[in-house]
Amino acid sequence: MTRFSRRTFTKLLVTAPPSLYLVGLVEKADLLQAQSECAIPNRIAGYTLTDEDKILASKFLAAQHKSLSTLREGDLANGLAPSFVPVSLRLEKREGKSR
Amino acid sequence: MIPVETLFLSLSQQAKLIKRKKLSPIAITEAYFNRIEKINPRVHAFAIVTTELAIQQAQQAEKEINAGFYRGPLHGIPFAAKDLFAVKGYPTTWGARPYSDQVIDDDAAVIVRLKNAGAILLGKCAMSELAGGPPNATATGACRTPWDLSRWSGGSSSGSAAAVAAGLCSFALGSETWGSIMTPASFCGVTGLRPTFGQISRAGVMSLSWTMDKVGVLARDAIDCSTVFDIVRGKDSEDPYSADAIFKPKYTKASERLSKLRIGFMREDYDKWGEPDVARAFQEGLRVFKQMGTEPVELTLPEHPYEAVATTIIASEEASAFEPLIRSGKISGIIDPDRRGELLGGQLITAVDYLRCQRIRTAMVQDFAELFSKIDLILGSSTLKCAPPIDADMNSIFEGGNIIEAAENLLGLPAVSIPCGFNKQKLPIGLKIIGPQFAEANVLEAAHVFQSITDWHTKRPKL
Repeated sequence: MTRFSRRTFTKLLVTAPPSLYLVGLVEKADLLQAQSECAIPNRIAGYTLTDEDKILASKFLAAQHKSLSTLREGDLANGLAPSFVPVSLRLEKREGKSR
Repeated sequence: MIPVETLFLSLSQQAKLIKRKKLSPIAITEAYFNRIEKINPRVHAFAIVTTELAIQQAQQAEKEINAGFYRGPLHGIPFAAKDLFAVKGYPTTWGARPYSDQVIDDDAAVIVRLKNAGAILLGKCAMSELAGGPPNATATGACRTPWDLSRWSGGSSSGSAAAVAAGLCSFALGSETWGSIMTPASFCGVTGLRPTFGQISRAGVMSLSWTMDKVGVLARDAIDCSTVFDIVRGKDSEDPYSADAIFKPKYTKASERLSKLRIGFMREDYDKWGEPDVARAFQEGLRVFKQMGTEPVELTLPEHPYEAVATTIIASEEASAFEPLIRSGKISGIIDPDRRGELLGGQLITAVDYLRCQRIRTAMVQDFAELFSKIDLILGSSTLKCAPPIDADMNSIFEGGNIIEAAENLLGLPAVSIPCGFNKQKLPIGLKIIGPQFAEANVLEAAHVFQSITDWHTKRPKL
């Protein structure tokens, strides 16, 4: 494996293909897919990301991409509305008995 | 001088003594503070002690009880609250360094209800940083299980469970978004109740995930959890998601009622993901349920990507909830690097993906309604492993299995974790009982019957 000085390595982290720095943490294909779909911006919510922040956010999104690819597999029926809150407030004032 | 045994009595036993004026609220409060002073430096269960407030509340309780004004079963009972419940006049740090100086000038709704019931707040309990992350990711030092001080108490209600287990309070408030009551209850060998989503107001409680956060109770047994739950539950105008269902458990007839319930259980792959001793304890738990007159049947969960949906929803909602933390730049003070990545990366999850998860959640709700038309309660292991070493890798602690935990939390189902044995290292093991929404009575009655014929919940760590 190629070895870099700390300074060079840090520079590479934000400029080089992700396989150079995240191999072993996540699947390379997931990472590349995540990066192609969602580049890490320099600023998020008005906050300027450090190099380390970009790596951490990339790592999270790469793992997330893997999850989302499963979620995106099926088509959801047009009428299937989001739940947001799983509890029906219609149950108010009633006992939640199962028998 | 109050004997240490009194500090380990159940809340209901302490309440009887207090009501009969055989136990002074002031004396028991002082006794708990003495024990906290002695034990807490080793356990790290308390982040903040609220001495001045507690003494004032104890004096008031004693005065009222001596004058014949008894408020009820929590009057004069000392408790602790996870440090995400706002308490007027004291810091509320959410377990995170960027909030170490935060003072919210109001009491959380649940704290108000406990104050009105005459309970005495001893302090705020240590918690995982912003209610998530590995053992060392907390502003107050890793909280340890009183059963082995080299091991973690679990998270994120770390200190709440440890304080109850170590005899530092009568009960404690905790919260759960995904495993934060069940896990520490299991690792610390106490009883933990996670009620149905919305049963207890979250006003004045740190928000991690608006659609998944629940407030709950950690205590010595199911009856104690029930007592506290009955006082703090109910509709609150400040929490639009709060609900007001009827709760009328009948513990005297619990055995009879339980034998009529249909019980299912989840068989986990303990060989792959768990510990053999946890598998053995769960089998023994099933045997006890058969002894209780039930016939547990094996279940298969409806097929859904529970963990992926839960991860996406929590990451999206926490990224929004903590946007001010990011904006201020104070996110750099978050100890756990993975958490920083999650908070930043969560900002980049698309609305379409978030909505997709919430729509899949609707399908889950429908499938579980079908499941609960055939089954009344589901049994499972609270955790598949026992308390890990403080420096253990988070992924190794929670890797694999226990898929139902994500489902329970997405669906807002009530559950109770009860001690059901020990492993070879004498670490506690938890069994959980899950019910359909608003079935707290059934869940707690079943736990009570289990605890009336086993004594795991009465075991105490040597400290």
